[in-house]
Amino acid sequence: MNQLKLLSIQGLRTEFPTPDGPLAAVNGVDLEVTRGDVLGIVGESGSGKTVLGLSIMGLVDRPGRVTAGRIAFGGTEITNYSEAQWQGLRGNRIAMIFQDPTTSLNPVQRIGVQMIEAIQAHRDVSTDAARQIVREAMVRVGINSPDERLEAYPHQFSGGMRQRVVIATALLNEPDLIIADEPTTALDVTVQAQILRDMRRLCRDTGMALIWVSHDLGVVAQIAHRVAVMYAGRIVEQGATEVMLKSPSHPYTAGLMASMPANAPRGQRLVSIPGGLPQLSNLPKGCSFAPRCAHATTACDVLPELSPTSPDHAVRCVSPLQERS
Amino acid sequence: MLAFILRRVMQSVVVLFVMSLVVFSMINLVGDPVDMLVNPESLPEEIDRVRRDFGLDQPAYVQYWKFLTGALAGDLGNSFIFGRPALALMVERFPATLELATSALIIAITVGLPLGIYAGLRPNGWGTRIIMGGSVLGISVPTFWLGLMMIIVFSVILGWLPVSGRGETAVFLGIESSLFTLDGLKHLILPATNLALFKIAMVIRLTRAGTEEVMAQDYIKFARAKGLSSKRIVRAHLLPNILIPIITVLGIEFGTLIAFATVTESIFAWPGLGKLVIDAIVNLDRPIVVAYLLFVVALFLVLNLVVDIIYAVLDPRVRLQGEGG
Amino acid sequence: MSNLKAISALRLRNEGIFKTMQAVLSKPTTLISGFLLILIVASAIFAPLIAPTNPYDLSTVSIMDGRLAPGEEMFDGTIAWLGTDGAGRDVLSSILYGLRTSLTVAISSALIALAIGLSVGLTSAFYGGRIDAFLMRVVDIQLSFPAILVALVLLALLGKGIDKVIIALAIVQWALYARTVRAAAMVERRKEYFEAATCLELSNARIIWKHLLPNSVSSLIVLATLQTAHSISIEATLSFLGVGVPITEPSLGSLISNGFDYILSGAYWITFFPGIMLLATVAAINIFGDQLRAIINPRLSK
Repeated sequence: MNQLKLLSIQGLRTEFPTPDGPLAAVNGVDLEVTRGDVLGIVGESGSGKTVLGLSIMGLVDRPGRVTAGRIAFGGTEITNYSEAQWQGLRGNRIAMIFQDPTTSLNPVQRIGVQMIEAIQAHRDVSTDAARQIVREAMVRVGINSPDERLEAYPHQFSGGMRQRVVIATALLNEPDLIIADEPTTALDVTVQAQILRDMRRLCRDTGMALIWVSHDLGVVAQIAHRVAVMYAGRIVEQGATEVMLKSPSHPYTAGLMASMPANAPRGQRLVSIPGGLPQLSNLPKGCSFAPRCAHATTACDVLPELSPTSPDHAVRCVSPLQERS
Repeated sequence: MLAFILRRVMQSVVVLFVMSLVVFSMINLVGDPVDMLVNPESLPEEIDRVRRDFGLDQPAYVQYWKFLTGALAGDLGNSFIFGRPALALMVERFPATLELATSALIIAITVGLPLGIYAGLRPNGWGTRIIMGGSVLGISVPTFWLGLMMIIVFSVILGWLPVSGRGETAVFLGIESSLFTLDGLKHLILPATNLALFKIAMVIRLTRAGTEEVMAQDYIKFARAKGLSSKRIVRAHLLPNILIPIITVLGIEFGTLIAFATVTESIFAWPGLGKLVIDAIVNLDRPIVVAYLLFVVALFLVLNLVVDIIYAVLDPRVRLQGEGG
Repeated sequence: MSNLKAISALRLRNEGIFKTMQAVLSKPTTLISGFLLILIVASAIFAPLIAPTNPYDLSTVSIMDGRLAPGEEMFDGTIAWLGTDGAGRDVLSSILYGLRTSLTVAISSALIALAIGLSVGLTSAFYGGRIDAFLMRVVDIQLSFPAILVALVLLALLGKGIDKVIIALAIVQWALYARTVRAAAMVERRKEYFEAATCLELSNARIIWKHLLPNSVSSLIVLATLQTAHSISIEATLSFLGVGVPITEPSLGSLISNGFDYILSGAYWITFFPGIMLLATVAAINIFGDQLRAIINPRLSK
């Protein structure tokens, strides 16, 4: 009915069995992504943001699996896809980019082989035609003289160049959605800025949607239209980037922002959130953030819903912070 | 690099020399070969004459010097039993052993590799449990007994395959081998399989470990995210990465195959080096034993040397370490 | 300080042994293989009591009973459950006595190898430097040759006999023990308290005995278990080739070898049943050893 709704996730739960019982890395997540949208997902390592990305790709490693919820892509439910159906989707309609470009490429295969196979897995084209598509994709992400690069092995590339190759590979089949899991974390700052700029341009030019997963609120603020903050497997706050960054409603988001160097007043120590992530196998009964929260009260013993505070902003907190003056 | 190779070659020569000394001095400590050369009822003069003829009356160091200079000139003495040069006998018998060991290696790889990959891909499956259980059994079963059981089943009960010997051989491309005649192949199947059984368990374990390691790599995850089929991932990404270490290990292990061929050759009366040396040990045919030992030592040194050099070429860290120590 | 640490380390070790025992008892595979192992060892020890006949007693062995099939009745009325061999010896009795020989050879050679390996490994780890480099080079060279080959050569030089086989197997195995002991001791050597102990000028023997040795015990137990299986196999192979234990006092290997001659005439049992016993013994030890390793050092279990 709504053609713009590209990805729609409801109540997604992804569990890993452990000796102490199942552990929900993703614990009831609702998300929507429209065409051309750039959604940032922010959270500490262990918050479940990577598993969320993998769940959308059907790539959760066994014994982990999606145990509840629905994922619909382009109006079709894909939650119960067979492996063959997933293969048709992956790298074709949804592509994924991983964190470390030095390990995302097979060290013993030429770059060209690794890119061409991504095309030929989905389209019945000759190797020559595929090679042409690869060249164009490489140029699009700013790799010069693609012909030489095709014959090279990954170790002959710099880290930034390798990540460009990975991004180019993700673009090959012109997917509707790219999930980028901290794709710039392993790169130095200048390269990171370039890649961010390129990705933003690509999204604008091609109209594809992007989910940008990161632990770094600053990076996400630069690229995303909307931001979702994850904590212990749940989304605790989401909304339009400007609104959220201006007035974070969840104490955790506020804490994340306060701990960003750019936001700290000169000469003062950086603020950090006390404590660490709770054990996923042993979550507090109510709000998972309560044990670390300065504002926690007994009311926090009940898990709050993710409820809207304004049309473009929702928060999972019993006593959301008021807008800062 | 050249210095590294030269030093390793020098080391090997020293080891070979020391081994020749050890072998020669030990062999002179036990048994008097003259006893077997002559009729027990011979006259003392006749015994002395034989002793002189074979140079056994001279001091040990003279004998060793003669042996060493002879060895360097390719003369390892005459077999007491056959009355012919030991080296010529070895050269004559070696192709049969080589043929057996090579066939066994090929069988071990063609059977072990797929099973190992299967086990590595499905670490918790039932098939894996059966394969790994079988490989424990394979390590536990003494190969010689398994050889006997194979004879009972395939030769005595079923009558499909011959029990002993090499069968008909034919010359192809200047190589005489049982591989080129049907009869020869029939004779080869049982001994080669028997020798291979001893290595299959090892190939399975190596392959499984390698597969599990490679499948956990990011580039496999990225390959799956590209939407590649499992078949393509195994062929293009898994195999090239696990084959290098497996082939290397098998290269070193080729020496053990030649050594273990002694057992297999004795069971199946395969006219190779192993049978020659076992007969020589039982009959106290000293020159053959010495020649065989030196040959095997040289073979091992060469195999180790080649593997070391390959590693040094592939991995600069090994090369540097080698130069330091 | 150093003492305190040493004591706490020792306590940890004792708890470790307790935990190991608990783990052994709680896992069915371990329990079954352990039970089978005890059964095998017991039947070897009590062979003279449980065997129907004494295969060494020539007065009771009759050629008239030669090559009876399993289950047939022998001349004196005893049933040969597993048949008889060419000379009329009861196969079951021979197996029990053979098991005895096989285990004796394997265990005594393991003990000798352990003693040599311990001394070399500890010496190497304690003194380090050139002594260490030299000893480990020797170990490397020896280990680059397959055990069966080294044993074969040694027996070619030493001649036949149980004592000779034990010596040969001990020489084959010592290097592995030496390397394992050294590796474990080296870990301990790098720890702080070792320096403290040397500073306190404790005697060398005391340092080696109290500090370097205990740390290698668990890996040695595992190694010794698996090596015993290996040496039973090697001994059997050697005896089969006719260079090991003589047929006058047969091991499982010589029994199998003895039966080899009858295979083609269809008397499979003479060689089949000793082989099954050999297989069961080696498999039980291997599985038990593997489980033990998984319990003691989970990281290495794969």
